[in-house]
Amino acid sequence: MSIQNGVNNIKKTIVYQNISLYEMTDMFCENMALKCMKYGFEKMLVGSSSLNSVYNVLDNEKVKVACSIAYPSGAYILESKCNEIECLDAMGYKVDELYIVPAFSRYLSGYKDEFKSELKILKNKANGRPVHIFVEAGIMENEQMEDVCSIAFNSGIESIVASTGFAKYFSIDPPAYEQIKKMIIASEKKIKVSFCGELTDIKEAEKLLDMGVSELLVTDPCTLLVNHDLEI
Amino acid sequence: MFDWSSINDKVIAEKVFQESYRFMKLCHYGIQGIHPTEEDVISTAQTLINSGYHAMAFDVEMNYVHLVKDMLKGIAPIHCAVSYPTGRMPLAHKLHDMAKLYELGVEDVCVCLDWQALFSKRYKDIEKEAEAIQREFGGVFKKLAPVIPATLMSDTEIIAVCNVLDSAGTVSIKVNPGTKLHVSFEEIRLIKRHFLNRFDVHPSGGIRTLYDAEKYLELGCNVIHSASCLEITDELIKRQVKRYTGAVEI
Repeated sequence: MSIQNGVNNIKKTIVYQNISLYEMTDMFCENMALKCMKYGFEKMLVGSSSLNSVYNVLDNEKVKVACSIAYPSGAYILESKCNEIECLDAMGYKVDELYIVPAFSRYLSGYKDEFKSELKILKNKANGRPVHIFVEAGIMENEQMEDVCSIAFNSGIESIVASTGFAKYFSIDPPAYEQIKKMIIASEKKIKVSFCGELTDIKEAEKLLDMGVSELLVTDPCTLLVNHDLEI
Repeated sequence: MFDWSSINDKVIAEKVFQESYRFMKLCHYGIQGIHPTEEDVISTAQTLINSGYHAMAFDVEMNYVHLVKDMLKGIAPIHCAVSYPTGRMPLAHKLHDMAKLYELGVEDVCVCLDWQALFSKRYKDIEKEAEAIQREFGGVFKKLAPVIPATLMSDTEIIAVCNVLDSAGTVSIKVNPGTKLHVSFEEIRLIKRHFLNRFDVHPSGGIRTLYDAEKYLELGCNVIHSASCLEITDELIKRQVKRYTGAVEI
């Protein structure tokens, strides 16, 4: 495959996100929207406080806008997450997809039924929109990966993101590529697995996509793709 | 944990215990994040109980409040963070969560202001948010502290934000959320220099030694956020015992 074809394929999988960034300005958000429109990135993922800036400039229906819920810890009670979705919708902006951090620690504590129930309720609360969930594959065993993939699939979840991209701030290791690969194997291709984290080298992006990753949630897709004398 | 039986002189042991007890009473202790399990949370709470100390507050995530509230009754009020750490959730949701935390019996709260507004210099929006929080919950919690990421801000930005928090009637400010954003003496000095004792300042992030903790107390802080507060207390004990007994090593 030519490098240009590779770049084009990668573009389609990019989710331009700002949720894992500490420093965030209105101008940055506006630029995210402008870059999505200019370079053809099909989805952006932001926190709810970014929606005003995004919609100040976004006028292209082809760019989907997704919002994070309970990010980054997910350690809120279910009622809180439902309320966050309600408050998000009450803001009046079009939000096409939800990326939710479930109570992952409760799953790790053995509360499987509670985890299942949470995913189903949040899926219902999304009112037909695709729902993606974050986990931290870096601290999961193989059996847990299989289990979570199965639960998520049966709950109608669109994809599992293998890390919040925030792991280092919580002093845990983000998943290595091997662990992401294990998650993909565990998914048995029933449910998509996505990557979220720092990605600066196009070869890394290609490696992840060859592994079977569906989406690349990245904070700087332009640098990732423009380090080549290519059209993006 | 320090072995008090190693101090032969019971008068000195009691004196040092009281000093360490008073120190821990200024500290937040706890466990937060995406990954701590129920077992981790119970174990951390039990560590505090076994230490014999009371803490300023026990920091825990919202979904574990029910687990530790009764365990820690009389030992430490429960502290939770709202919209942590970047404050990007809708204000209406932050207020909802604060009401819920109050209902759950949480007595000490920090709430992250909208960092996007902050970095975009929309100080009026920050003021409105802080005012709304203060109007609804000022006086409801034992401590209610908006969180500012001072380590990512310039001096003029810190002063500008503190000015609007002053206008909003904010009482306590948590300087930095932790999560790899570490407070510095200069940030505290800056706030104290410009606002004297107007704010109850809570330094947070990267406080790992007795020297650091005592420096923040010396700068006028009355609350210390540190995941290492029990280790710091041990350091205090060893130093004080050495001072009182003249012992070379404990």
